[in-house]
Amino acid sequence: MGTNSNLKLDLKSITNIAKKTQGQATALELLNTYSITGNSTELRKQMLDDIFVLPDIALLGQWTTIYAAPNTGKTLLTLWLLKKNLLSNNLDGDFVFYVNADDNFKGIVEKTELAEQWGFHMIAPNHKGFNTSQITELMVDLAETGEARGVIIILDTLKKFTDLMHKRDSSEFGIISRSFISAGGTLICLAHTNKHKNAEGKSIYSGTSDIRDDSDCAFIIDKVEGGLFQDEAAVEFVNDKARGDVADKISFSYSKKQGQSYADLVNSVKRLDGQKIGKLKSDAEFKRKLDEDQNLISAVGKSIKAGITSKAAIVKNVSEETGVAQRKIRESLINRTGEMYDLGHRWTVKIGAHNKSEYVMLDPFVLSDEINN
Amino acid sequence: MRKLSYVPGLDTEFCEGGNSYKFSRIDYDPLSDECIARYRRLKLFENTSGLVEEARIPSFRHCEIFEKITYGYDHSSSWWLLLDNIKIPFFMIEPYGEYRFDIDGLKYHEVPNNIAPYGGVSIAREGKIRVPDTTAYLFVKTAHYRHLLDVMARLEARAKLEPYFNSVTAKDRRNAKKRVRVEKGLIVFGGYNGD
Repeated sequence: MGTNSNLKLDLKSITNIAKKTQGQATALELLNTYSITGNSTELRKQMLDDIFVLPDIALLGQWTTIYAAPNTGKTLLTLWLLKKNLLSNNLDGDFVFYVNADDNFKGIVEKTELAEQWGFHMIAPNHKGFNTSQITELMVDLAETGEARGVIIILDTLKKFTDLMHKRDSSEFGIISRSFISAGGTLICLAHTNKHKNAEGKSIYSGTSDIRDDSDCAFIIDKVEGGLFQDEAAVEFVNDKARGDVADKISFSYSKKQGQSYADLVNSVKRLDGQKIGKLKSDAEFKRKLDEDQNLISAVGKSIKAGITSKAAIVKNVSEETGVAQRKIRESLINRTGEMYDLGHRWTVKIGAHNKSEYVMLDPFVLSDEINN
Repeated sequence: MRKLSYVPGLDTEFCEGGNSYKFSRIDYDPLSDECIARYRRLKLFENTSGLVEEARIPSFRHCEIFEKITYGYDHSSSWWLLLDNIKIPFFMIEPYGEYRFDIDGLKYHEVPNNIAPYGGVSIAREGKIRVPDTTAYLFVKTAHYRHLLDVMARLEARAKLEPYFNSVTAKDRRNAKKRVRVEKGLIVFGGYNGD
């Protein structure tokens, strides 16, 4: 060992000796003090049972973030799920604090009335001296004083409490939230998704990945198009990240009518079973494909009307007219050939003179009459 | 407002045993008509409301209620409504006279006077009276109001079937003697008389 190394060692020893004489702990002693090994019995006693705050979605003692586009129903569904647990006495509403920072005055009043009816705390900015910037301070205090245990905070919406686009802010919020969770608190954050969807047409979370990464559990809510009555909407919660026994997918419907109260809207929420949501999704996919093929269908229709009825001639003509690849036109011709208009068929093949196959457009009204007869 | 009765994170909850309602307000003279009627009402209150007494102190969740009550604070008792997975704190005070409370964060209802356990009568009015001089107020935190309404519905319905507050029958007296015999050694006669 060189002279420099020896000097450094001497210095370190001197630092430790100085700390000892002043009654301070050395770094190694501090590490030993922080060790929780040997405290597992005590910690297990404090451990929260696997109780759902929001059935199948959010567990007690975890940080769950629910992402959805505006007007998808994230507040509505969160409140409905909360109501179920409160009214079945699975949850003590005195520990539930819903921070409603994303509402107008009427909305605040309506939701506070529900809070009084079901029994939980509603907090709103600029009411009774509350300010959104206080929430992180309160979470730190709750964690430090040991009062966090059992406390459930729901933040609606998260962007009112931290800047989701700013990495440092999100990361700091993550550190505070984790200390609150480690002390036995529960955090549920409602956040927005991006305007743009991913390649599969699914919503993606908005902002940096820090919040999603730091959360124990993340769900993304997407609207499911089609199939229901005109004023009904269907949505699906898809799990994006899990720590615990939460659902992979869970679906709901609700009915939005003009002039209805918020309480009526909440009462209209229903949980959808897998079969029903499967049917809705296939209907939506059917509609999407039909919309996608609409230009091609009208081009084929024009060709047939103009007397171009053989497969090869239709493919050639439509390709020239629309610029769509012949392979794709051939695929569509096959996929939309049949007798059932409702199944997406738009033409049928008949054997004409000299045993030639001829394409004929389907008439939806004539065909339904024929089927009925 | 009174000083906080505990410091979160510093004090230990339930570190003292405390005295039960029965010990404090009945056992000092268990064979007197006043205490026989009070025992009958206490049991009626417990059985009808479904509430279970909390005698241990400090109970932090009850502290949150009573530290907000700044007057009419007499003959207090702490109670739990035990539900499947949760327990709801209730706090009762039974002062002489009548009060009105408007306390932010708390809700209360009056317990029917023929079920309210204490049923105190001022010395000047002792005799054959049908209404006590004390009033029992049952408090909960606002978030628990629907539970208070449930309890009150049960108490109100039962009150219609019960006699006036200080009714004592010969059967009640016989039962009191039997009970005291069974509890011999557990009762401190002539001891603590209320708070």
